[in-house]
Amino acid sequence: MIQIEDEILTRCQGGDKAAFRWVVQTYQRMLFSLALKMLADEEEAKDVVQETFIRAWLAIRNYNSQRSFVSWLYTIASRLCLNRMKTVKVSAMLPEDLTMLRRFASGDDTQRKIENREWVAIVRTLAEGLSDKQRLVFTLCQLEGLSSEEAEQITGLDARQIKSNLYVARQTIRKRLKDLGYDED
Amino acid sequence: MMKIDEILSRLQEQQPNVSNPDELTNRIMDSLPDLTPEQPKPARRIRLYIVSAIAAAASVLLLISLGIVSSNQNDEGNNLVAQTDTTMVSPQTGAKEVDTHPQEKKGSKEMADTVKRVKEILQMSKPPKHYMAKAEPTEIAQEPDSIDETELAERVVAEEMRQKEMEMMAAMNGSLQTDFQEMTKEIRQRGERMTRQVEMAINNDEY
Repeated sequence: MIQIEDEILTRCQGGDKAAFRWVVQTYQRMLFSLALKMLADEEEAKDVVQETFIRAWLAIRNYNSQRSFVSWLYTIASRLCLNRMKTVKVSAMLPEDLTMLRRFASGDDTQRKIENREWVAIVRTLAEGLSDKQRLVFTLCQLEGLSSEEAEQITGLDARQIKSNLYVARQTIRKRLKDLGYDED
Repeated sequence: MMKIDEILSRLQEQQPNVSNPDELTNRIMDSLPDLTPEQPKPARRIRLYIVSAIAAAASVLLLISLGIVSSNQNDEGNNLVAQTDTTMVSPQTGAKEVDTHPQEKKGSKEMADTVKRVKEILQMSKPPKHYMAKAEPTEIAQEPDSIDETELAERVVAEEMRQKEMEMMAAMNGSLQTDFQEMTKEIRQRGERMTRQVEMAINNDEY
């Protein structure tokens, strides 16, 4: 994880927009990734990223420097995603989503970058049927590669809840992939 | 074909890209409001709220105190008005004074009730009718040279009653818990006693 420098943070807290631009440029991709995987919609994801930075900017003077800045941004973005998922339901899996997943999982070109529309199709297919919390924990721990402790900080759930939500999410996705004809180890 | 774990690990290796990162950055930066000068910290704000609350409470107490003082002053004013009203039994004051009711305009509803009760008490404590009949100004006018002793006795009785009524009014203004019934009874008894004494004195003089 990229750590923000104290100097940049101090400048941001002083209202320096140029310093905050650096923060936006550095972390927007990370937040976009989380939001896209949670919401399965590129424009919605961009809106969440924008809203996250606005809130971070407005609250940056209250930011506790003892806490990880990245976790703080993730926390804001996660809550915004969960709020948005309550009002706008994530669209159901489409027939062409399965085609995209099969193309990705064919293993023909492992170096190929996954496009955003493929990401949308894959998460729509895999995460269908997961609860919002399971989806969030799976995205943070499995897709974003964060530790359980970081996920605890971000979600506010305790270790046991993280573990159980992650377990159920993994089992659900494995079963789905198995039903689609993919083998386990 | 990939296995399940391969699929999951490959997803972890990659991250979606923002299609036009500069555009998103500019969009975000354009939407940022200017930060206002630093707000007081929450702890300081809480202290300010506490101080404000104390100041407000003190103001309310002050207003209440002023209200009580003002009310007492008004009570004193009403007392004077009530005294004027009680002089109606005196034959010297004339009929005009008997008909005035200024205290009902000044006082509050509570005060008006009190004055009403005092009037009732006064009615009850009036001397017997034969004295009152003699006390009427019209009769005085018709018989200006009537018995001096009677007039004197009436004055004494009226003065005594007025004094008692003043005491009673002072007690009423001082405390609303005064027992009006007892006061009334006492006044009536004293009035009657005094009337009897005067009558006896007159009779003794006549004989």
